[in-house]
Amino acid sequence: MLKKEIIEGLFRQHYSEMFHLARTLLGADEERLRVGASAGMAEDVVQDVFARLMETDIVPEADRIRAYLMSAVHHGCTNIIRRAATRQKVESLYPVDDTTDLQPIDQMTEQLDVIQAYANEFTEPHRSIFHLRFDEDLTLKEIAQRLDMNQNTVYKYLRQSIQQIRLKLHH
Amino acid sequence: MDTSNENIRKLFDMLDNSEAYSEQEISDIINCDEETRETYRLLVEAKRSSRWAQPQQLVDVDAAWRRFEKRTYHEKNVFFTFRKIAAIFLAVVFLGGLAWASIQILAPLSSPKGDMLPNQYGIEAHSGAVGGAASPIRFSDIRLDSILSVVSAHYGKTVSFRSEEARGLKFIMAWNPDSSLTSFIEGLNMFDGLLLTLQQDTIFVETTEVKEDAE
Repeated sequence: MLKKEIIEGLFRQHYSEMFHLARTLLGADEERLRVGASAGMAEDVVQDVFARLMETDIVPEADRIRAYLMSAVHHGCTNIIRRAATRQKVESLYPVDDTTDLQPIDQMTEQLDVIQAYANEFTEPHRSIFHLRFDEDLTLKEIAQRLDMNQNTVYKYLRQSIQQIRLKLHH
Repeated sequence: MDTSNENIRKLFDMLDNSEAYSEQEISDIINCDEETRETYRLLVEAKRSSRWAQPQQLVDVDAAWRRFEKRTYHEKNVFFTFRKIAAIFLAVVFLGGLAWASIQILAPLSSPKGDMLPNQYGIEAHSGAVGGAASPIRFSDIRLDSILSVVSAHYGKTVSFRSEEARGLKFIMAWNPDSSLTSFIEGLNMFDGLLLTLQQDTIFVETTEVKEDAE
Protein backbone atom coordinates (compact mmCIF):
# COMPACT_ATOMS: atom_id res chain seq x y z
CA MET A 1 0.00 0.00 0.00
CA LEU A 2 1.35 3.40 -0.95
CA LYS A 3 2.27 5.86 1.74
CA LYS A 4 -0.26 8.59 2.45
CA GLU A 5 2.29 11.33 1.67
CA ILE A 6 2.84 9.94 -1.84
CA ILE A 7 -0.89 9.76 -2.54
CA GLU A 8 -1.40 13.28 -1.19
CA GLY A 9 1.40 14.64 -3.39
CA LEU A 10 -0.08 13.06 -6.52
CA PHE A 11 -3.59 14.14 -5.52
CA ARG A 12 -2.61 17.77 -5.11
CA GLN A 13 -0.62 17.77 -8.34
CA HIS A 14 -3.15 16.12 -10.63
CA TYR A 15 -6.61 16.49 -9.06
CA SER A 16 -7.69 19.63 -10.97
CA GLU A 17 -6.87 18.26 -14.40
CA MET A 18 -8.41 14.87 -13.63
CA PHE A 19 -11.58 16.54 -12.36
CA HIS A 20 -11.73 18.66 -15.50
CA LEU A 21 -11.44 15.55 -17.67
CA ALA A 22 -14.21 13.82 -15.70
CA ARG A 23 -16.45 16.86 -16.19
CA THR A 24 -15.61 16.87 -19.89
CA LEU A 25 -16.63 13.25 -20.29
CA LEU A 26 -19.59 13.23 -17.91
CA GLY A 27 -20.84 16.78 -18.34
CA ALA A 28 -21.09 19.61 -15.87
CA ASP A 29 -23.13 19.24 -12.69
CA GLU A 30 -26.23 20.80 -14.17
CA GLU A 31 -26.02 18.56 -17.26
CA ARG A 32 -25.70 15.42 -15.16
CA LEU A 33 -28.55 16.43 -12.90
CA ARG A 34 -30.70 17.01 -15.96
CA VAL A 35 -30.34 13.36 -16.94
CA GLY A 36 -30.83 12.14 -13.40
CA ALA A 37 -27.22 11.46 -12.52
CA SER A 38 -25.29 12.56 -9.46
CA ALA A 39 -23.75 16.01 -9.28
CA GLY A 40 -20.79 14.57 -7.44
CA MET A 41 -20.06 11.89 -10.01
CA ALA A 42 -16.97 13.57 -11.48
CA GLU A 43 -15.41 13.87 -8.05
CA ASP A 44 -16.33 10.28 -7.21
CA VAL A 45 -14.57 9.03 -10.34
CA VAL A 46 -11.37 10.90 -9.46
CA GLN A 47 -11.48 9.78 -5.83
CA ASP A 48 -11.95 6.16 -6.92
CA VAL A 49 -8.80 6.42 -9.03
CA PHE A 50 -6.75 7.54 -6.03
CA ALA A 51 -8.40 4.97 -3.76
CA ARG A 52 -7.31 2.20 -6.14
CA LEU A 53 -3.84 3.68 -6.53
CA MET A 54 -3.51 3.74 -2.76
CA GLU A 55 -3.90 -0.05 -2.64
CA THR A 56 -1.01 -0.65 -5.01
CA ASP A 57 2.65 -0.87 -4.14
CA ILE A 58 4.11 0.60 -7.29
CA VAL A 59 3.75 4.15 -8.53
CA PRO A 60 4.06 4.54 -12.30
CA GLU A 61 7.21 6.35 -13.39
CA ALA A 62 7.10 10.12 -13.07
CA ASP A 63 6.79 10.71 -16.82
CA ARG A 64 3.90 8.27 -17.06
CA ILE A 65 1.90 9.08 -13.96
CA ARG A 66 -0.18 11.80 -15.61
CA ALA A 67 -1.19 9.55 -18.51
CA TYR A 68 -1.91 6.76 -16.04
CA LEU A 69 -4.17 8.89 -13.87
CA MET A 70 -5.97 10.52 -16.79
CA SER A 71 -6.53 7.13 -18.45
CA ALA A 72 -7.94 5.82 -15.19
CA VAL A 73 -10.40 8.74 -15.05
CA HIS A 74 -11.34 8.07 -18.66
CA HIS A 75 -11.92 4.42 -17.85
CA GLY A 76 -14.03 5.28 -14.79
CA CYS A 77 -16.20 7.68 -16.80
CA THR A 78 -16.62 5.14 -19.60
CA ASN A 79 -17.95 2.63 -17.08
CA ILE A 80 -20.53 5.13 -15.84
CA ILE A 81 -21.57 6.09 -19.37
CA ARG A 82 -21.86 2.43 -20.35
CA ARG A 83 -24.45 1.90 -17.63
CA ALA A 84 -26.59 4.89 -18.66
CA ALA A 85 -29.83 4.38 -20.57
CA THR A 86 -29.74 5.25 -24.28
CA ARG A 87 -32.00 8.27 -23.73
CA GLN A 88 -29.65 9.62 -21.04
CA LYS A 89 -26.74 9.11 -23.39
CA VAL A 90 -28.22 11.17 -26.19
CA GLU A 91 -29.47 13.88 -23.84
CA SER A 92 -25.92 14.41 -22.59
CA LEU A 93 -24.33 13.56 -25.94
CA TYR A 94 -22.48 10.59 -24.48
CA PRO A 95 -21.13 7.91 -26.82
CA VAL A 96 -23.62 5.12 -27.42
CA ASP A 97 -21.01 2.45 -27.95
CA ASP A 98 -17.57 1.74 -26.55
CA THR A 99 -15.71 2.09 -29.84
CA THR A 100 -15.75 5.90 -29.57
CA ASP A 101 -13.41 5.82 -26.62
CA LEU A 102 -10.72 3.43 -27.69
CA GLN A 103 -8.04 6.00 -28.44
CA PRO A 104 -5.30 6.83 -25.88
CA ILE A 105 -6.12 9.70 -23.58
CA ASP A 106 -3.45 12.09 -24.90
CA GLN A 107 -4.72 11.54 -28.41
CA MET A 108 -8.27 12.15 -27.26
CA THR A 109 -7.54 15.45 -25.48
CA GLU A 110 -5.39 16.57 -28.41
CA GLN A 111 -8.31 15.90 -30.72
CA LEU A 112 -10.63 17.93 -28.51
CA ASP A 113 -8.18 20.85 -28.73
CA VAL A 114 -8.06 20.50 -32.52
CA ILE A 115 -11.85 20.58 -32.83
CA GLN A 116 -12.19 23.64 -30.66
CA ALA A 117 -9.39 25.53 -32.43
CA TYR A 118 -10.87 24.62 -35.79
CA ALA A 119 -14.39 25.67 -34.75
CA ASN A 120 -13.04 29.03 -33.64
CA GLU A 121 -11.76 29.57 -37.17
CA PHE A 122 -15.15 28.95 -38.77
CA THR A 123 -16.57 31.88 -40.66
CA GLU A 124 -19.96 33.26 -39.71
CA PRO A 125 -22.64 32.07 -39.31
CA HIS A 126 -21.05 28.61 -38.91
CA ARG A 127 -19.03 29.75 -35.93
CA SER A 128 -21.96 31.21 -33.98
CA ILE A 129 -24.20 28.27 -34.77
CA PHE A 130 -21.54 25.81 -33.64
CA HIS A 131 -21.02 27.60 -30.31
CA LEU A 132 -24.72 28.10 -29.66
CA ARG A 133 -25.28 24.43 -30.28
CA PHE A 134 -22.44 23.00 -28.22
CA ASP A 135 -21.61 25.70 -25.66
CA GLU A 136 -25.18 26.72 -24.89
CA ASP A 137 -26.98 23.47 -25.79
CA LEU A 138 -29.58 25.22 -27.93
CA THR A 139 -31.84 23.26 -30.26
CA LEU A 140 -31.95 24.02 -33.98
CA LYS A 141 -35.22 25.86 -33.43
CA GLU A 142 -33.76 27.98 -30.61
CA ILE A 143 -30.67 28.84 -32.67
CA ALA A 144 -32.90 29.83 -35.58
CA GLN A 145 -34.88 32.14 -33.29
CA ARG A 146 -31.73 33.60 -31.75
CA LEU A 147 -30.12 34.33 -35.14
CA ASP A 148 -33.36 35.12 -36.90
CA MET A 149 -32.82 32.39 -39.46
CA ASN A 150 -34.80 29.59 -40.99
CA GLN A 151 -34.43 26.37 -38.98
CA ASN A 152 -33.57 24.44 -42.12
CA THR A 153 -30.75 26.87 -42.86
CA VAL A 154 -29.36 26.43 -39.36
CA TYR A 155 -29.41 22.66 -39.85
CA LYS A 156 -27.49 22.96 -43.13
CA TYR A 157 -24.81 25.22 -41.63
CA LEU A 158 -24.39 22.97 -38.63
CA ARG A 159 -24.16 19.89 -40.79
CA GLN A 160 -21.51 21.58 -42.94
CA SER A 161 -19.50 22.39 -39.81
CA ILE A 162 -19.65 18.79 -38.67
CA GLN A 163 -18.53 17.63 -42.11
CA GLN A 164 -15.59 20.05 -42.00
CA ILE A 165 -14.53 18.72 -38.62
CA ARG A 166 -14.75 15.22 -39.97
CA LEU A 167 -12.45 16.08 -42.85
CA LYS A 168 -10.06 17.86 -40.51
CA LEU A 169 -9.82 14.89 -38.16
CA HIS A 170 -9.33 12.41 -40.98
CA HIS A 171 -6.37 14.34 -42.36
CA MET B 1 -33.27 14.10 -50.43
CA ASP B 2 -31.16 10.90 -50.31
CA THR B 3 -31.60 8.33 -47.57
CA SER B 4 -28.48 9.31 -45.67
CA ASN B 5 -29.47 12.98 -45.53
CA GLU B 6 -32.90 11.96 -44.37
CA ASN B 7 -31.42 9.80 -41.63
CA ILE B 8 -29.18 12.58 -40.40
CA ARG B 9 -32.11 14.96 -40.39
CA LYS B 10 -33.97 12.44 -38.24
CA LEU B 11 -30.95 12.26 -35.95
CA PHE B 12 -31.10 16.01 -35.29
CA ASP B 13 -34.86 15.88 -34.80
CA MET B 14 -34.43 13.11 -32.27
CA LEU B 15 -31.63 14.92 -30.41
CA ASP B 16 -33.79 18.01 -30.07
CA ASN B 17 -36.90 16.04 -29.01
CA SER B 18 -35.58 12.87 -27.43
CA GLU B 19 -38.57 12.63 -25.07
CA ALA B 20 -40.75 11.87 -28.09
CA TYR B 21 -38.80 8.72 -28.93
CA SER B 22 -38.57 5.33 -27.26
CA GLU B 23 -35.19 3.86 -26.28
CA GLN B 24 -35.41 1.50 -29.24
CA GLU B 25 -36.27 4.28 -31.69
CA ILE B 26 -33.33 6.35 -30.44
CA SER B 27 -31.00 3.43 -30.89
CA ASP B 28 -32.38 2.65 -34.35
CA ILE B 29 -31.98 6.23 -35.54
CA ILE B 30 -28.35 6.47 -34.42
CA ASN B 31 -27.43 3.10 -35.87
CA CYS B 32 -29.48 3.19 -39.06
CA ASP B 33 -26.37 3.58 -41.25
CA GLU B 34 -22.66 4.26 -41.01
CA GLU B 35 -23.01 7.92 -42.01
CA THR B 36 -25.50 8.65 -39.22
CA ARG B 37 -23.44 6.74 -36.66
CA GLU B 38 -20.36 8.74 -37.63
CA THR B 39 -22.28 12.02 -37.45
CA TYR B 40 -23.46 11.18 -33.92
CA ARG B 41 -19.87 10.32 -32.95
CA LEU B 42 -18.68 13.69 -34.25
CA LEU B 43 -21.43 15.47 -32.33
CA VAL B 44 -20.21 13.70 -29.18
CA GLU B 45 -16.68 14.88 -29.90
CA ALA B 46 -17.85 18.42 -30.60
CA LYS B 47 -19.72 18.52 -27.30
CA ARG B 48 -16.71 17.18 -25.45
CA SER B 49 -14.45 19.73 -27.08
CA SER B 50 -16.80 22.45 -25.88
CA ARG B 51 -16.66 21.16 -22.29
CA TRP B 52 -12.90 20.63 -22.51
CA ALA B 53 -12.41 24.21 -23.70
CA GLN B 54 -14.34 25.66 -20.77
CA PRO B 55 -11.90 27.29 -18.36
CA GLN B 56 -10.98 24.84 -15.63
CA GLN B 57 -13.02 25.64 -12.57
CA LEU B 58 -11.10 26.86 -9.61
CA VAL B 59 -11.18 23.61 -7.69
CA ASP B 60 -10.61 23.66 -3.96
CA VAL B 61 -8.02 20.88 -3.91
CA ASP B 62 -7.57 21.18 -0.13
CA ALA B 63 -11.26 20.50 0.44
CA ALA B 64 -11.23 17.68 -2.14
CA TRP B 65 -8.24 16.10 -0.38
CA ARG B 66 -10.00 16.34 2.99
CA ARG B 67 -13.05 14.56 1.55
CA PHE B 68 -10.83 11.88 0.04
CA GLU B 69 -8.89 11.50 3.26
CA LYS B 70 -12.08 11.13 5.29
CA ARG B 71 -13.52 8.62 2.85
CA THR B 72 -10.54 6.36 2.36
CA TYR B 73 -8.40 6.54 5.46
CA HIS B 74 -11.49 6.77 7.64
CA GLU B 75 -12.99 3.65 6.04
CA LYS B 76 -9.77 1.76 6.45
CA ASN B 77 -9.79 2.61 10.11
CA VAL B 78 -13.22 1.12 10.72
CA PHE B 79 -11.76 -2.32 11.25
CA PHE B 80 -9.13 -0.90 13.58
CA THR B 81 -11.87 0.91 15.50
CA PHE B 82 -13.78 -2.31 16.04
CA ARG B 83 -10.67 -4.00 17.35
CA LYS B 84 -9.84 -1.13 19.64
CA ILE B 85 -13.29 -0.96 21.14
CA ALA B 86 -13.44 -4.72 21.52
CA ALA B 87 -11.25 -4.47 24.59
CA ILE B 88 -13.62 -1.93 26.14
CA PHE B 89 -16.57 -4.20 25.48
CA LEU B 90 -14.80 -7.11 27.10
CA ALA B 91 -14.32 -5.04 30.23
CA VAL B 92 -18.01 -4.13 30.24
CA VAL B 93 -18.93 -7.79 30.02
CA PHE B 94 -16.87 -8.53 33.11
CA LEU B 95 -18.36 -5.66 35.00
CA GLY B 96 -21.72 -7.18 34.19
CA GLY B 97 -20.84 -10.12 36.40
CA LEU B 98 -19.73 -12.72 33.92
CA ALA B 99 -16.89 -14.95 34.92
CA TRP B 100 -13.80 -15.06 32.80
CA ALA B 101 -14.45 -17.43 29.99
CA SER B 102 -13.11 -20.84 30.62
CA ILE B 103 -13.90 -22.00 27.15
CA GLN B 104 -11.83 -20.80 24.27
CA ILE B 105 -12.10 -21.07 20.58
CA LEU B 106 -8.93 -22.46 19.21
CA ALA B 107 -7.68 -22.83 15.72
CA PRO B 108 -8.61 -26.25 14.27
CA LEU B 109 -4.99 -27.28 14.01
CA SER B 110 -4.16 -26.45 17.60
CA SER B 111 -3.26 -29.38 19.80
CA PRO B 112 -6.33 -30.36 21.79
CA LYS B 113 -5.98 -30.15 25.52
CA GLY B 114 -7.19 -32.94 27.73
CA ASP B 115 -10.09 -31.06 29.28
CA MET B 116 -11.51 -29.61 26.09
CA LEU B 117 -14.71 -30.66 24.41
CA PRO B 118 -14.95 -30.31 20.63
CA ASN B 119 -18.23 -29.28 19.07
CA GLN B 120 -19.62 -28.98 15.58
CA TYR B 121 -18.19 -25.49 15.05
CA GLY B 122 -14.63 -26.62 15.63
CA ILE B 123 -14.79 -24.88 18.96
CA GLU B 124 -13.06 -26.56 21.78
CA ALA B 125 -14.34 -25.83 25.21
CA HIS B 126 -12.90 -26.13 28.67
CA SER B 127 -15.16 -28.01 31.01
CA GLY B 128 -14.56 -25.71 33.95
CA ALA B 129 -18.08 -24.38 34.27
CA VAL B 130 -18.68 -21.63 36.75
CA GLY B 131 -21.21 -22.31 39.50
CA GLY B 132 -22.85 -25.17 37.62
CA ALA B 133 -24.25 -22.83 34.98
CA ALA B 134 -23.32 -22.96 31.31
CA SER B 135 -19.77 -21.79 30.84
CA PRO B 136 -19.17 -18.42 29.25
CA ILE B 137 -17.46 -18.71 25.90
CA ARG B 138 -14.56 -16.53 25.02
CA PHE B 139 -14.22 -15.55 21.42
CA SER B 140 -10.65 -14.56 20.86
CA ASP B 141 -10.08 -12.65 17.63
CA ILE B 142 -12.89 -14.54 15.86
CA ARG B 143 -14.80 -13.41 12.76
CA LEU B 144 -18.28 -12.07 13.40
CA ASP B 145 -19.93 -14.54 11.02
CA SER B 146 -18.36 -17.42 12.98
CA ILE B 147 -19.43 -15.95 16.30
CA LEU B 148 -22.98 -15.45 15.07
CA SER B 149 -23.23 -18.94 13.64
CA VAL B 150 -22.54 -20.30 17.14
CA VAL B 151 -24.75 -17.83 18.97
CA SER B 152 -27.69 -17.93 16.54
CA ALA B 153 -27.73 -21.74 16.57
CA HIS B 154 -27.89 -21.63 20.36
CA TYR B 155 -30.95 -19.35 20.32
CA GLY B 156 -32.54 -21.05 17.29
CA LYS B 157 -32.25 -17.97 15.07
CA THR B 158 -30.88 -17.32 11.61
CA VAL B 159 -28.45 -14.56 10.62
CA SER B 160 -28.67 -12.19 7.69
CA PHE B 161 -25.76 -9.89 6.82
CA ARG B 162 -26.94 -6.67 5.23
CA SER B 163 -23.31 -5.51 5.09
CA GLU B 164 -20.94 -8.10 3.72
CA GLU B 165 -17.99 -6.24 5.19
CA ALA B 166 -19.32 -7.00 8.69
CA ARG B 167 -18.73 -10.73 8.21
CA GLY B 168 -14.97 -10.45 8.46
CA LEU B 169 -14.82 -8.18 11.51
CA LYS B 170 -13.03 -9.92 14.33
CA PHE B 171 -13.88 -9.63 17.98
CA ILE B 172 -12.47 -10.45 21.35
CA MET B 173 -15.46 -10.99 23.59
CA ALA B 174 -17.17 -13.30 26.02
CA TRP B 175 -20.65 -14.72 25.68
CA ASN B 176 -22.67 -16.44 28.34
CA PRO B 177 -25.11 -18.91 26.73
CA ASP B 178 -27.37 -18.49 29.80
CA SER B 179 -27.85 -14.79 29.06
CA SER B 180 -30.60 -13.59 26.78
CA LEU B 181 -30.11 -13.03 23.08
CA THR B 182 -31.23 -9.44 23.60
CA SER B 183 -28.41 -8.75 26.00
CA PHE B 184 -25.92 -10.31 23.57
CA ILE B 185 -27.20 -8.07 20.77
CA GLU B 186 -27.14 -5.02 22.99
CA GLY B 187 -23.58 -5.82 23.88
CA LEU B 188 -22.48 -6.08 20.26
CA ASN B 189 -24.32 -2.88 19.40
CA MET B 190 -22.00 -1.07 21.76
CA PHE B 191 -19.36 -1.38 19.06
CA ASP B 192 -19.41 1.84 17.11
CA GLY B 193 -20.20 1.19 13.47
CA LEU B 194 -22.06 -2.09 14.00
CA LEU B 195 -25.81 -2.59 14.30
CA LEU B 196 -27.57 -5.86 15.01
CA THR B 197 -31.34 -6.08 15.09
CA LEU B 198 -33.57 -9.02 15.88
CA GLN B 199 -36.65 -9.27 13.72
CA GLN B 200 -38.74 -12.34 14.40
CA ASP B 201 -36.34 -15.26 13.97
CA THR B 202 -33.59 -13.43 12.14
CA ILE B 203 -30.65 -11.43 13.40
CA PHE B 204 -29.85 -8.71 10.85
CA VAL B 205 -26.33 -7.36 10.80
CA GLU B 206 -25.25 -4.10 9.20
CA THR B 207 -22.49 -1.57 9.51
CA THR B 208 -23.19 2.06 10.15
CA GLU B 209 -21.08 5.15 9.80
CA VAL B 210 -18.50 5.41 12.56
CA LYS B 211 -18.73 8.65 14.47
CA GLU B 212 -15.73 10.95 14.26
CA ASP B 213 -15.20 10.91 18.00
CA ALA B 214 -14.93 7.12 18.07
CA GLU B 215 -11.26 7.38 17.22
